[in-house]
Amino acid sequence: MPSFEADFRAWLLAQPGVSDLVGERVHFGRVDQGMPMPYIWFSGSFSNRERALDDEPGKHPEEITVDVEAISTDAQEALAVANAIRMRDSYRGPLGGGTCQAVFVEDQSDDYIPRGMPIGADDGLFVGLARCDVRMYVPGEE
Amino acid sequence: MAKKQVALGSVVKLGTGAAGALETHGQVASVNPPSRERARVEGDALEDLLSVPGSGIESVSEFTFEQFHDMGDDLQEKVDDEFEDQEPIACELSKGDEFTWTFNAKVMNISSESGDANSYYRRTVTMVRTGAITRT
Repeated sequence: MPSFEADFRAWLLAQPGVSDLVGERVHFGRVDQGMPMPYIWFSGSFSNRERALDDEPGKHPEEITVDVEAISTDAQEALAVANAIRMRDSYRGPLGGGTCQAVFVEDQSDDYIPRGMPIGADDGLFVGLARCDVRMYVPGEE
Repeated sequence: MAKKQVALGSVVKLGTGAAGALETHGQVASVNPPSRERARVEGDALEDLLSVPGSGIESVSEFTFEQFHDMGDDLQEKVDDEFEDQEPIACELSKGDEFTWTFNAKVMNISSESGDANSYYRRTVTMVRTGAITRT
């Protein structure tokens, strides 16, 4: 069954420069201790801020905000991964197995607290941040 | 079934090319498609139970777009040329395979915004439609 998380992960890995930097290390949910660096962690929140009168339950969320964190022990490396994602602002087209009408990439808010650190990590890590706003995502056929 | 359309990816083309050929005009920040309105013809008869106006002639409407203004760009300069020529040109507003609107219009107004050190030059081009809209 297609999922937004799987499609967004596939989209990140398909963007120029991203897999060169992180390989296949794009995660959502938890990150296990000892995860090789750099890696990307993301988490999405869903909303439909503009509703039509005939909207019904069961349709796909039309606005998905994804917090993206590029985590590394090297500051320049974390920044390079985040910049590779920022270069995809105004993307439109295939999103993994699905499609979207737009991906807007913005800076993260000043009060954002990173959540993608490995469990139990106590070393100083560097985090490159970006916020992706995905519009009109439609999953592919099962 | 209808769905919401994000405006990103919309394309404005104007007939500023050779022999009026359509050319894509870029750096468009926003677009206001032409509206449709008819004159209302009042004519209530004594036996009418509901005052329903008749449909008169279609009113003139405008097509406007705001663009980041590159005063040295040859293509953007053509809009200024069309303003001076005062002749209708072909216009097209489209978004991929979703929709295409074509109509003729003439440039009636070019309104520039002030620019300070931290902003981009912008201008709003207002065109008055001179013919019917073809929708595909």
